[in-house]
Amino acid sequence: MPAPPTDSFVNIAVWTGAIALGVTLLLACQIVLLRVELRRHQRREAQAVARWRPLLNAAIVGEQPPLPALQSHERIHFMRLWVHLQGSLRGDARLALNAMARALGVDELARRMLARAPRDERLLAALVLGHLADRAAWDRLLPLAQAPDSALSLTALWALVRVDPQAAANYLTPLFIERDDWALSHVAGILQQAAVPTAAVLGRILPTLPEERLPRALRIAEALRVPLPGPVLAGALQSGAIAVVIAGLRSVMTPETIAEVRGLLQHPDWQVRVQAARALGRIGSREDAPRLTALLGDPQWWVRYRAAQALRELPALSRADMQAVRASLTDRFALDMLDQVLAEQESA
Amino acid sequence: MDNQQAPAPLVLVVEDDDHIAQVLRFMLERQGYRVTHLADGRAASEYIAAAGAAVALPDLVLLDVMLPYIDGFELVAQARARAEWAAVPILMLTAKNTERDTVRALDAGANDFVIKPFQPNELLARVRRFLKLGA
Repeated sequence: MPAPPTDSFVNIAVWTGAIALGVTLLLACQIVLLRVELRRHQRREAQAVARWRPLLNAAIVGEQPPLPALQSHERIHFMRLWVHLQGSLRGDARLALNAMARALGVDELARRMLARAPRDERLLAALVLGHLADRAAWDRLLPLAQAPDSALSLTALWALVRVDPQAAANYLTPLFIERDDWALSHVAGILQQAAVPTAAVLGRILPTLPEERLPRALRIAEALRVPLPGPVLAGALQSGAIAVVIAGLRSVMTPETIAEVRGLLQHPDWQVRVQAARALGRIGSREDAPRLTALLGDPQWWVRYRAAQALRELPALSRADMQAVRASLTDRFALDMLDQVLAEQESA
Repeated sequence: MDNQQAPAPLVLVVEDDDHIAQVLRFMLERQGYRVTHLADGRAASEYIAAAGAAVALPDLVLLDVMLPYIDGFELVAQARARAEWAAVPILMLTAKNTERDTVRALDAGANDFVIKPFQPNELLARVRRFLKLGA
């Protein structure tokens, strides 16, 4: 029998190899176990879906099938399927799904999950409670709305709006104005169901906001397409801060502030002139045609372009009127711009 | 005496979301319709090419817009380019509710469209209307 290696380097190499082999085998075992667990999870999900899908479909079409008890290992799979269907259906079908969830105790289950479940289950619970418009979950959703985790907080906010749009607007609108990290598109999507109460809240708090917060607040109003009170908007349009004026112009939807908008057509900042032209296209009348025609000669391309588009959008300005405007132009750039916008309209 | 009843109308459902497809199948079969389900645009395109010869021409198509491989707009155009599909009503299911997509759906040759999320009873009423017109 050969003598064991005595050289220390050889020993180190042997032990290193043995340890590496052991770790590799452990990793392999872990992969296999994870795979087995995944397959087991998929099987359970398939079994839960196979059991509950026919009952959910029956409820959706207006039937009231007898419901078995929801087993503990089925709960998450059921809730996922239920939320998915809620997102795709509306009307009586949604009400039927809600009734089924309450009959199974899913509302109580979701409320408990909000407190202590892992993150993904808390997200699911917030979605369930939002679809159920579960008033009893209000106090448990509020702390989640302030969570540093954006996905969790936005989901909780969405649920709060569905539970009580009026209360949510009162509580959340100042929060939405403060949190710059929440994308406006998400905020608008969440507040869509509470657009009217949010407009009222914005109208109330806008005059009290510090100047640096005004642009975001005005952009929220713009995203929700809600008109703001005339005096409030006029105050924004008369601000010395360009960002506030621009945000205010973007929110102009009614002729209440038309005098201020007309005055901003000659603002020294070209971005203000762009937004003033756009706003005038939305709220202006036939008598604003000369003002917009004058802007066709602006040194900034974007101002000329938006002025031409606004001219096209003015009500009661016929094709013949547009041709008359075109015939009156002597500036080559103004003529080119109007021709471009008219051509865009023809090709649309 | 020949007492053979006409077969129930055949509805072709092209929808990649399996859960929604199962809801549609359930709803339609409860109403007494036969249902064929295809889960992507490629399978639907092959079906359109083969219908009339190898597979049955449906009495109505419920067609999702956002599909893998070939979208619903393209499928409508493919169907309308074939004479045997000219009279088959096509209802599009779309999550897009912009004017441009509505116009695009109707210009492509769709007969109607339903915006998601949809109301099952409303969808069934539209299906019945088209199947009644075709009867």
